Amino acid sequence: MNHDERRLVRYLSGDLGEAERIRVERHLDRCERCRMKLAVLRKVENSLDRWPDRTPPAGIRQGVLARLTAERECSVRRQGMFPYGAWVLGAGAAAAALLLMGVRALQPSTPTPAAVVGSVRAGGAQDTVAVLRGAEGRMTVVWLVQKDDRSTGPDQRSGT
Amino acid sequence: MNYISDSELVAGCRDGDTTAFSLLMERHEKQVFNYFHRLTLDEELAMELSQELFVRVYRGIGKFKGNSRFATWIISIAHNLYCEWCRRQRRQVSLDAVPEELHPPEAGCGGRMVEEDVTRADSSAMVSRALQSLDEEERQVVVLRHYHHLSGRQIAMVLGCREGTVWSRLHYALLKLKGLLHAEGVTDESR
Repeated sequence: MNHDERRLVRYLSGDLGEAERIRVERHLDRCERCRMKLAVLRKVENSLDRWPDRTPPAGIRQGVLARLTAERECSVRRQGMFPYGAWVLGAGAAAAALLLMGVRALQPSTPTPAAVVGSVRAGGAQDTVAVLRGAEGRMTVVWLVQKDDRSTGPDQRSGT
Repeated sequence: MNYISDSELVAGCRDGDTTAFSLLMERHEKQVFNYFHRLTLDEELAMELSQELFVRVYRGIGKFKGNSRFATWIISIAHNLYCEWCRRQRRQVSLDAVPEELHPPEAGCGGRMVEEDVTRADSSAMVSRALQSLDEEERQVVVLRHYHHLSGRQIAMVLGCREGTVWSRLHYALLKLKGLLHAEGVTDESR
């Protein structure tokens, strides 16, 4: 083993494995120079003990717990403004949809044309007019309007 | 009385048990406070940083996977917090650009600040003064190794460097301290 001072520091720190520690100790038995270096390093290390741990001031834990509690309360207050946020949104959307459907149901429906009128001709009788549907050759009478305005249709008769 | 392990307390914290968290704080408060105090030499600041640290620990407790000791995990967070504080200090100092004589010397980060209420005869203050004379990286290694008993591997993990670098820094730090403490008349000859 060479005079590796880093290894001496590791030895001093108790950081070496068993085999490595034994190797260092064997080297130290033979090497006066490394023994002296180790002694100096040990003295310095021991001097550091003259700066002992301090007792922490009171109130660290209480301060942390107070801060965490305040944060939690703040978060609860924010949630309190919308305690059931998702439910409220869902219910609101459903209510709006129902309202829209109701309004549409109450609106008068626009009449859908039952048939496209092809032509209007004088009916078979003198005082009637026939409303016809379909192309020429396949006409269907869908309505007969009489002179006194009383309808008689729809009449599904075919005609030419 | 049964000893409740850190892991059990951490599990309690995850379930929202503040009593478990209070116990964890009680258990680690001393190491955390002393870590910050040794680096800043300011009791009030060390207290503030300790509180901020525990708040972060509580919020991030879910990230602790148990791959390392809880104490090492806490010290990693403390290290990050201290580095953040150092960066803020540096920014503030450069932005303020206040004449040096109006400000006390910056604590930590290579600066030197010694408590006013200790005399030079106080060997504790001498050791702290010697430590403040080290480079920031060297001081961190000494504090983590000597006062927090972290292994080389754990220190490397906390500082984000190679293990060999840790031992090099510790070696140079001890050699520097030898000169500094000898000058202060502190070097312990009794052991």
